[in-house]
Amino acid sequence: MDRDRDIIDKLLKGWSLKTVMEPDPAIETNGPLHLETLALEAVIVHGVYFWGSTLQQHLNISGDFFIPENPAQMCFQYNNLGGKRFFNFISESLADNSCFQRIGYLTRYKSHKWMLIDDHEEIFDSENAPRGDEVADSVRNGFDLKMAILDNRDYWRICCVSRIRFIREGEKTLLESAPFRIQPEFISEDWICKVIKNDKILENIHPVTGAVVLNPVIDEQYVLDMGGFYSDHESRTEGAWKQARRFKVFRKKLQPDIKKM
Amino acid sequence: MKTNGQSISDMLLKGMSMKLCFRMGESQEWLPIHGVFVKDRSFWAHSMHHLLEYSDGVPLRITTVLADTGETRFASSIRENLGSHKIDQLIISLPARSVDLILVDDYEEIYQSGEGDAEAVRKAIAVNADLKCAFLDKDGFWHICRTHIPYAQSDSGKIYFQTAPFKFQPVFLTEEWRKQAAGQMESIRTNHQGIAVINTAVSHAQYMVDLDGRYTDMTSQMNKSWRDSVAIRIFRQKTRRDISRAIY
Repeated sequence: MDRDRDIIDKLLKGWSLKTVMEPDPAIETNGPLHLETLALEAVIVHGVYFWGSTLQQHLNISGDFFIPENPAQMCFQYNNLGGKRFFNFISESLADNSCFQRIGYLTRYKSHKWMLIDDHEEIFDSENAPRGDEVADSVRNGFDLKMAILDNRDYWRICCVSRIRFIREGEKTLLESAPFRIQPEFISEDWICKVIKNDKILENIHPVTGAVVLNPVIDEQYVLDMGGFYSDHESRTEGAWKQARRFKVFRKKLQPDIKKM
Repeated sequence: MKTNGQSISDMLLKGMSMKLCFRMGESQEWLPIHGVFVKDRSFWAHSMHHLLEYSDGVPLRITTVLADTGETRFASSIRENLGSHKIDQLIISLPARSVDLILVDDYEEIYQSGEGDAEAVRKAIAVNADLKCAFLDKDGFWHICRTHIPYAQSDSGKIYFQTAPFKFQPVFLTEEWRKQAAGQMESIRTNHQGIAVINTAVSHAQYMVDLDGRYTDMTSQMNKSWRDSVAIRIFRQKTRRDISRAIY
């Protein structure tokens, strides 16, 4: 648990979460032994638990590096629930857009490690007085940003910023996160309780192929109004804003000699 | 913009990243570019695959495209309705000074085919550095993308990159379109108030790049065949020296 608390402490300071994995070559579809990595650029933290999701819905490839007969867009999510034992993914068929979800054991990997990288620095925390307009200055100087929003259920939502809007009317600055796919069930209190209180919940998962799950999938994206409000999937479909309990903005630590052309 | 005599294409091929700043009156919208094609002095820049906007409560996946044929510059928007999965496309003639191109010198080249050191790439993968890959195809197009999943094989020593996907409109890359683009934009400005609906094929751009000089695109992947590249370059993000890493 100390390890997980240490990871979460870093995530809330702006460190980036990545994985370093060696898929088990004994599983044919994994291909020969190799090292692969994934950036988990959408992170959710709740208490001592965290979930990291890929942003890109990449097209699936087989162990031979070719697209299989039924191409699909994939995204992956890893977490530390239940002693970091499983992961899940969502695939969407390119042919008919049907979604398919699986949950699988991390034993698919010969090794699976978290890598935390201290590559962002905090430039705004709603609990502290702002230091000038570092957010706008950073955008105008070409820096990549990341934001963390604490909601009223104690979930931190951390995601890299994709689009930034400076709106003259009302002097608003809106930071729009990159979108990602998620199954809300897997981050719910209900699911956390099931996993930590019942070790047998994952008992029927096949060690290689995993298990099919049928949860609703949403395309999540956050928009942060630097005035203290944000929207997510739920509120955007209703056209409403939510009050952020706290929010932070980080910028990528690039070399000081960076040139903006 | 200080270009020191370099064209935008030159700067992109040195690994520089591009951001777009759209100016709408006194408001601004900043957008990063993730997938670029370059041929001679022309370039086609694409935002990430699926930025979301909402229309009547239904999310739309949006790709923004900015193309510069040398003679004219235009934008396009690919909008996929996530309810119906219907794709709409717009083409936009850009008024002067409506968009700034920001080029950021944030990547350094660590590998070039022919004279490259694959060990530098292997080391960058091992420390999870942010990488970008550029390869030149036989038709003279450079494809520049962020890498999504690197694969460093243990026994063979081979290195592959799966690039981050984005959507693009193949028609814009044709010689025929490049020749008529300026006229088309003039027509859209004059007859359609600068914006028009178009209906062209939309493709996925996702590549597997073999550092030994091959790549696959969507077509060759479907045929399970590799294509030879003319050149490959790998870039690594220039992060500050005080960056530390922790492995758990």
